Amino acid sequence: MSPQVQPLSYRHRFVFFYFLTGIFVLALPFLYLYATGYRLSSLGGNLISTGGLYVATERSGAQIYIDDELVRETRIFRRAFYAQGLDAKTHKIYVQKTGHHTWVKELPVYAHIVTEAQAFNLPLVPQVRIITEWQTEAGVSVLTSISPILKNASSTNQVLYEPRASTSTLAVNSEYVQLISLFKETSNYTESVLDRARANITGSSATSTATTTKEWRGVQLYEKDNEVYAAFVGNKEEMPYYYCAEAFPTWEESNATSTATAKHNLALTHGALEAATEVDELDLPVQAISNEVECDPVIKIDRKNETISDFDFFPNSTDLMIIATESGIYVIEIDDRSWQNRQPLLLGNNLTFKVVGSSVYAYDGKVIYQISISQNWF
Amino acid sequence: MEDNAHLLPYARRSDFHVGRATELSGGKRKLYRFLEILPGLASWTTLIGIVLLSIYRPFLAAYFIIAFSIFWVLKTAFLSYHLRHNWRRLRHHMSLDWQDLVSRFEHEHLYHLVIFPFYKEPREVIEATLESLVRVSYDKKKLIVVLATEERAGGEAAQIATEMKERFGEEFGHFEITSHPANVPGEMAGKGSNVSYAIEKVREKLIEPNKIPYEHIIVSNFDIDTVLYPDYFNCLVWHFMTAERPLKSSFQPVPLFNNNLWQAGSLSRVVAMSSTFWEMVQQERPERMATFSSHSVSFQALYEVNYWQRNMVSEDSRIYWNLMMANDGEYDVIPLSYPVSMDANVGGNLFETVKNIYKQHRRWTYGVENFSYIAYHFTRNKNIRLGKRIKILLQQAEGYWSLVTNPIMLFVLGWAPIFLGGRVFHETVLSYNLPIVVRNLLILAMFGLVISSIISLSLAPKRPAHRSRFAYVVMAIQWLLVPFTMIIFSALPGLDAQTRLMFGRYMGFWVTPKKR
Repeated sequence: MSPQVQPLSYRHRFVFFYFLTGIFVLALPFLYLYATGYRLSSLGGNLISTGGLYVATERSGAQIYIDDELVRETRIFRRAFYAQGLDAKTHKIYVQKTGHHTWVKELPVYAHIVTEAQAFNLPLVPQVRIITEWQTEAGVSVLTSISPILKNASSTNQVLYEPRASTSTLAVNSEYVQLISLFKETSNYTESVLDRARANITGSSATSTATTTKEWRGVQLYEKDNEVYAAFVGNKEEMPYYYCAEAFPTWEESNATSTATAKHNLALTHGALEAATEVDELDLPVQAISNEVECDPVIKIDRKNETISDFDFFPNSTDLMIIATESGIYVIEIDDRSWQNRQPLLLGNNLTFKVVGSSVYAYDGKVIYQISISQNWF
Repeated sequence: MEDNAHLLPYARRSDFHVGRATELSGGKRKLYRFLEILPGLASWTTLIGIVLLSIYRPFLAAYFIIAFSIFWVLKTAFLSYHLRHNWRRLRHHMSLDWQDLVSRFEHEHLYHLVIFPFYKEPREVIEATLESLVRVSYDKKKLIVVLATEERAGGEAAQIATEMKERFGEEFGHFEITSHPANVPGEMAGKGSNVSYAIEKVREKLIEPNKIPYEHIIVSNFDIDTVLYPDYFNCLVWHFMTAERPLKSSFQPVPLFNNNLWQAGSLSRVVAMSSTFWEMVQQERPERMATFSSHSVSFQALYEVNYWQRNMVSEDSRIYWNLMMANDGEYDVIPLSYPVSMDANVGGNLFETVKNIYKQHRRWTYGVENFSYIAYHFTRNKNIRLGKRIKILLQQAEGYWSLVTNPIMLFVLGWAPIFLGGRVFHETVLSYNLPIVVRNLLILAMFGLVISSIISLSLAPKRPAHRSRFAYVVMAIQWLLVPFTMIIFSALPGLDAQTRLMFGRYMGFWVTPKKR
């Protein structure tokens, strides 16, 4: 009599080992191909090269669509979506959320490359905190005239409308006094205050090289010949891809030129794939990206034929900037791979703004408005 | 007559019991030192190499990591297969009536010399061990029990030993207390020197005067917390009697670290059961086995190599390599697939537990010192077949290398190309898919943990009345800690041990505190 359960025989183990080795040999090339973006074509079953799209949003509860198909409803900890296995061609992406502006972009996807995009959705009705020169003893802001700004925005604080208010019965709002000094001081001085404030928030240093130049985290914003540009001057390893991507024509260029490139981009922009095929092949090659960036990483900001009176970085972002035009204050993305999305931060004539730390203040000549920024940015 | 005449020819070499390079001289010393450096060098080269590869050749690093992840999944499947089979065999062996099985053999001539090396462990630990010995289904008059104390442990330990002899002495054929002197030149304070001293004392005092043939004595070297299952000696005798060459074999039980499983925290339990599972896997591939912790071996075999080494830490595994070398490769480890229970590592608080487990595993993984010994003697003993030497060396090298590098490569460096690969790599589909592919493969590998969870529950001792049934749920899901424990209590102490050996900062024997 002996134990019934025998040790595993060498032969048994040998066979199992070679069975697993076989799986390894078969699985390895399959996974290599899969991981690098090869997929089986639905037509013919042959291998095709695909690319990917990575769309990040700053909002939870937003819907991400790729080619009109809902692919992700963002949540607090899942605010981005990575789509893989996409054909190498132009894809339309939009990110929408109820009560917010929709972000739309058409981006080329190249084989084996992931195209990244950062969406932003500002509220349709901006929320502002009104800061007036005068306030009651209880600290309630006092408006002496109706603010046209409030037609397009809602106030988050209590405001007393008192056109006949006597200043002798009111107190000076010290916050207003402090802020108005920023708006009235010279740019150089303002910059240093702003930069210090921003540095306090972000822990990084910002420098100003001129009154119309702002630099932060390797990105420089500057004005030249009435145009505003964003230039990447930092470490090339950290440079966002869009700085060296083919530029999309600005509003003026698309109306004034008819170069092949412009036609191509316009065709892509409007989804006219057939037209694009005629002017340029849509079967985009795998884009070779060199570590040694040879392009000039400068992007012209599309001002849509308006005059930009002021500009700055959007708080905590080097992808977005704030511009002031005659029609209001806007947030515009620097990424020009297709049109630059522009969304109003606060509409109104002749507004100026200042970015202080993580806050944006607008001034219409009478009242200062602190514009609410989603905390998701910080 | 020379005093080493009883030794096997190869064991008579002056370098047979070499513990470290400093004990040699000339070319031998240089060779041994190189072999001490090699494991640490290989591990560090691998880890640093992957970091450099991730920086300078991120695509290559990514391909390597994917290949390695598949390898890991398949390795998990391979080991789980062995584990599951051994679990079946273990349970079957535990259900057998071994007394009945050995009754067909003439085995009354066999004596069991049971040695318990004892330092400063608590009284209740020794009591539980000896009580289990009293309960074995075997003729206890055939048991020679030795409580091997250390002189440096002081009077209290000696007092406990005396009390134990008074209480249990009459239960066994003989009960001996030995006291290993402190500070013996050429010895390391530790288990090896203690048990070797004890066994020689017993030989002089008991075996020789009673003229007991050495080949009739099976020696069991048990850690002091070893609680025996009733049929251990019957199972051991059955395997001894049925072994092809019993005097050229060591017998290895499965160490279940479950004496205090219900007192131990999840971390201790996972680490303890992982060690058990590794030994269970090894039981199904005995050609890769060395003795570990509590084990049994014939007195004759031990006497021929002058017992356990006295000058190094891992005497439990080294004795197998000593015997293998001395017997020109003709020596086996026979897996018993029968358990002995030992203590899981428990400290006074979480920090102490973590510290103790780390130190215990650093001591265990310091078994890498065996690699130098094996490789060195493989260059000397040409009587061992070349094929066998190469095979063993590669197996050992892979074992020590993978112990340290694999968990770090998988759970930490697997993401290195993503963070270090630079902009060009970062924008590729491969960069984005790498974490997805690796994550999915790791999830697949985690299914092996389901098997671990089931087996660990089946091996747990009976639930104490004061513990709720919910504890079983915790014991089932505690296996999610494995990625963490693999790095903290396997890879890091292993790397620590290899690095110490690499720089010649030789470790001493650290006694694991016992607490119940």
